[in-house]
Amino acid sequence: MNINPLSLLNDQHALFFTLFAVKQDTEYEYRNLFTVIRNRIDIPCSNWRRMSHKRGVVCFNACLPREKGEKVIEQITKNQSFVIKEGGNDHILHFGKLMHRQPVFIPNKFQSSIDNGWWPGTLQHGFWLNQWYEINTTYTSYYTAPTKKLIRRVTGFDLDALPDLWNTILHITSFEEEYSPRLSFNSDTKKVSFLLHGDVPEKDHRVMIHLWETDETFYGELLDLPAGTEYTHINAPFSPKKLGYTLYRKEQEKWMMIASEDRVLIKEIHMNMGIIQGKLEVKKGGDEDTTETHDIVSYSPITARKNEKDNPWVIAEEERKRKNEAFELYRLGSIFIRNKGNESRNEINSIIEYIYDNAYQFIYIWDPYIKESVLPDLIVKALSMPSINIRLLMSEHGEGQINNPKNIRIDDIQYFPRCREIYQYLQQHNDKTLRNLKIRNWFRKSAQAFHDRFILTEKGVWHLGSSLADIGNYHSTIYRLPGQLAAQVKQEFEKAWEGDFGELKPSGFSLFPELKCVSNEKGCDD
Amino acid sequence: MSELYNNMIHLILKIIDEEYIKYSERFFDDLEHVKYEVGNWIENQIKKEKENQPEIKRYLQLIPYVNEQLLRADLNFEEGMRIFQNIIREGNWLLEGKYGLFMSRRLSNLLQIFYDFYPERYITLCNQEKNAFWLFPILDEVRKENPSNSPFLHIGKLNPSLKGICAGFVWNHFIQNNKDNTVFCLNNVKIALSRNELWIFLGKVIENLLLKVFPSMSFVRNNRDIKMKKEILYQIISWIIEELGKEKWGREEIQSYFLQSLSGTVNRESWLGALLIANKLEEIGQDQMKENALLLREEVIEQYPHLWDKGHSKQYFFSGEQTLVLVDELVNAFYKIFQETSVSNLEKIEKVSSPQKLWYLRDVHQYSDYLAERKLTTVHYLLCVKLALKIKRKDRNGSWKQLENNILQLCKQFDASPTDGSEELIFHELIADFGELWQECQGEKQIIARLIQNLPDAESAVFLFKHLSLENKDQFRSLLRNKIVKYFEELRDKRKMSLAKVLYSIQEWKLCIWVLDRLNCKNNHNELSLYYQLYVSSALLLIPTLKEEQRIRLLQKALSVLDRYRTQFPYVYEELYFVMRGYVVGLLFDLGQIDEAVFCHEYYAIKQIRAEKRKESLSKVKAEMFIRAVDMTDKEEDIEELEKYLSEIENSEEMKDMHILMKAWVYGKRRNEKMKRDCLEKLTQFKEQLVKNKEVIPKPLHRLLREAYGAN
Repeated sequence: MNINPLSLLNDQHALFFTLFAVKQDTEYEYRNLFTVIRNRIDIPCSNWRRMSHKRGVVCFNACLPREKGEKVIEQITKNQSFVIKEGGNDHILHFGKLMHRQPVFIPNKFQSSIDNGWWPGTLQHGFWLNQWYEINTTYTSYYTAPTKKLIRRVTGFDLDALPDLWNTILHITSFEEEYSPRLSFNSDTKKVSFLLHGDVPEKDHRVMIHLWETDETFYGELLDLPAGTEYTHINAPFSPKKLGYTLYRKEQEKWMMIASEDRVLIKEIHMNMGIIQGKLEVKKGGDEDTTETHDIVSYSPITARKNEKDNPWVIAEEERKRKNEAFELYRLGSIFIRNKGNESRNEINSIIEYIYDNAYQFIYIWDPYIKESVLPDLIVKALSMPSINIRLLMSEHGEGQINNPKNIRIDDIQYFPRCREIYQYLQQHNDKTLRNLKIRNWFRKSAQAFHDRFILTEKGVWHLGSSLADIGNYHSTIYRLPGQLAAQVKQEFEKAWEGDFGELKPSGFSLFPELKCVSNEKGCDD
Repeated sequence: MSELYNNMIHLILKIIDEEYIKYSERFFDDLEHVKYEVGNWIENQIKKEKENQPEIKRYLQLIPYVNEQLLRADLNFEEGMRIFQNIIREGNWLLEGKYGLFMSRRLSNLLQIFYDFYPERYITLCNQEKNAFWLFPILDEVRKENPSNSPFLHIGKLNPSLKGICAGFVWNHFIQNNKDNTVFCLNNVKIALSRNELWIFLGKVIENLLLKVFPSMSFVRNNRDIKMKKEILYQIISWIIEELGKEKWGREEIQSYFLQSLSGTVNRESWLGALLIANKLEEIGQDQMKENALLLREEVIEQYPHLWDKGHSKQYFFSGEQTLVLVDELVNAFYKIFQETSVSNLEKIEKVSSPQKLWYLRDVHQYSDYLAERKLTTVHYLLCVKLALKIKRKDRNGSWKQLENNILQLCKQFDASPTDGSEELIFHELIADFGELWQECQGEKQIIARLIQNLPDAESAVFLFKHLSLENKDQFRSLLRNKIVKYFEELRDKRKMSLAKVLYSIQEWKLCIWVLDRLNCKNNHNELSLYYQLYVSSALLLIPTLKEEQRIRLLQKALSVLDRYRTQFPYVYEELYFVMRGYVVGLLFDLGQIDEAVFCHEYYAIKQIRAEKRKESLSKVKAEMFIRAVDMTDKEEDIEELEKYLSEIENSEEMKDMHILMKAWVYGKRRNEKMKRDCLEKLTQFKEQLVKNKEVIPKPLHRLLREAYGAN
């Protein structure tokens, strides 16, 4: 089935072109950065206009009658370049090697990209997207903040959030200016009304209305709006928490989707309004003249509409949702464990073992309180998997002064009890080749250099509520960091390993494989 | 000399620590000889006392933003006035003679003596010290029952900041709440103030009055107060014209003093005051006055559309009611200046966004700008439409087409109802006026159809009908009906009620009943009261056009609506309720839907009602019911009661026809054929309306109608 959204338009529509391009070395030649074509009505047609912006970015726009516009689209996509006559010159635009993507419909769903405001603000009812994209593009240097801002200001597209749209040609079909669907729930009559507002064309429409009672359950009805009928309403079987519709129009004996939208209904509004109840006088010091007065304000929540008493299944679903989320987190490796003595200690140890087991490239442990007790598991891992890279970053400040912090000796270790234990423990394994295990200690004079604890592997980054040394002795949480956050922590670990703790300027030494100073200040005697 | 001096000082020391008393003649004569020395002494005492005034400091702490400025103010006139306003708002200082609370008795008495005997030196001292609280002796004198103009002469010598404070006081005391003293006060203020200061004073006063005439929150509306403020406003305007109108006004003084201080705190809608002055100037029509009027208008128009700018931000503020009046006046001003070319001049103004630009603002997510611009655009087109109406341009080409299209485009911007009250008010006015313009220019039918299709809700579509002729209404009624049906289900009950109200106001009673039948009215007194009023009066107005069975159904429904109201609020006494009930019951009785006992019961109930308001209507209802009751029993009753009712409605123009008809019935009963004939003859002039309303006239009178007009 080949859908051409252009077939949805009638003769009233004009096509509005906005092209962003960047100047090439040759004069009057440009490369496409971002092109968008939208249908408009009731707008005077105009020829090509050019506006130059900073850094060689140029914006062309024109409003062409539909037929002429269609021809331009055809030319651009066929020849992959296009000549614009403007100001007596021929401007040549290159679009690179273009690929066509089959038209798709983008609905406005709750918390989707339309809802988040990344597309132009008038596309609230969903739209058809026809896209041509350039393959092997190399113009990333123009994806700069000012260019993004310019595009946002002129077209409403947020290319920061939609980076896949760079170097593409978009053709968007929507009907905002002609007519728009309106779906609403009337809480007085408990009716849902759907209507087509504006200049509705004499065509058959069909609408699928969805009413969500909870996130998991909904009621839907398919309703016909034959040509000439512009509204319909149904009795709502319950007060919906979300409303949605998908609207189809009959075009050449085929039902075409033209709008689709979801809306969450606001059932309650809480407002915090302060009411001044009196004045508080505060006398300062012995001098009577200096008193401060403060308003005594009481805040009481004002509820605009009392929440209906939730049905048991609604409450049950909330519970289910929480469980589902917890389950998903558990699958990912996040868990909260109640302290049940040995049982919980074993459980959490098994989780940490599981994390270790699944790591094949590296295990970094970033924990100030590392003790000798955490080592056995890791040594086994290190020995059994020579290719793995294990690093332990700890922070123990000494109990006494090191003679010379820039030149640490065996004798100095006595001031660091945990380090000493670790050192001694590792000496027992002197005979084995443990080249893939490294331990460093960064510390300040009388304080640690860091506080939070993490386990980092190539599979993910986990944040631990308590130290590995005594995890499971209390209520314990292990939380797997999502997305960007994990990458950030890993980056920071690399910096911390080298002693970069931001504002703090700690000293440090490497405990294993050899005892030596690693302070980033100059002058380690080695 | 020295002994006299000592005696005087001794006496004054006694006086100043006591309750302040008037001095004897003797005291006055003696003082002459040592006046200068005693003056020095008093001045020194005052300066000594001034150090010791903790009360004022404590008081000032209550007014954070005025604070120490009052004690050593280096302000200009305008700030002085503003500060006085702030004190008024905060502490009611000076108004109730509270100044005694703020300084020691000794100091206040010293000041009073000093002012009484050494006014010149007092003024100099005040100017040096710049203490606002020290002005009370002057202000006290101003406040006297029959003030002379002497305190005003003193005020004139004060420095600007103190002068400002005095002016603020005078304004508050005389103009704020009392319309009798306005002229006297303005005359004196004119003496005291320089010309520029006078303009500032007038600007501030007018701005403040306009604020009261158009209160921004409707729930603080006090109609009596508004009426009085309006009167004062017009008094001031007339005074300005009389006293200043004949002179030539400088552009500079108008621009930087008058208009500057006429600007409100939020926007410059109060420049309406300047346009009102211009109107009045032109009305009188001397050459210089006309010139001044032109000057004012030019100055105001120059700032269009920035009159609504909110401070320095890109936002606008429209208060609603005042905006509409301002637009009306702007129309007047534009027309006076540009005459026939006004609309094209106005359309050239580029500072207003076109509807196309509004799409753009939405696209790029500038929603707050969008909403602000949309309102400004609405106001702008309202101005254009009103101007076009004023010029009554008949040519149906060029910019009229453009205007038509732009308004259609603007309507498309409202994809839901307007966002707030002021926008709604302005938008509805625009739609109503556009309807009128369309009719005036005999526009194409298709435009109205498209407009109805694109209006955001049913209510605004109703406004389109507001000024249409009956013929045009008939033509588009089905469109309106469809519009209402289409958008009805999404309306909350409250909106449905206001829709019904609007429908009633444009005399679409059938649709009004249609809406009321479908809305679920809550048992809240105001709502239910409005509901029965709308329902029953629409029903009564609709009756003459209906068939009998429809009539019965409608009246029965109306009666049940009335019953519901009575059951819910049995102790609420409203004359209107009984008037309506009387009509409905009477008509149902005529139609044979109520039996005699019930009717009599209702009649006696209504008979008991003693009216405060709506006396005439109630008497008419009682009279009609009386006639039915007598006709029913067919007994010779005491007709005097009926005559009493009839005498009460004798003077009403509206009820003249019914009065004569009922009078004829009385003569008929009394077998006074001659008088009866006379009455019937008089009825010929009302033939049309009586025949039309035949169905709402009590049945026993139908016979008389037949006698008067023949068989039909």
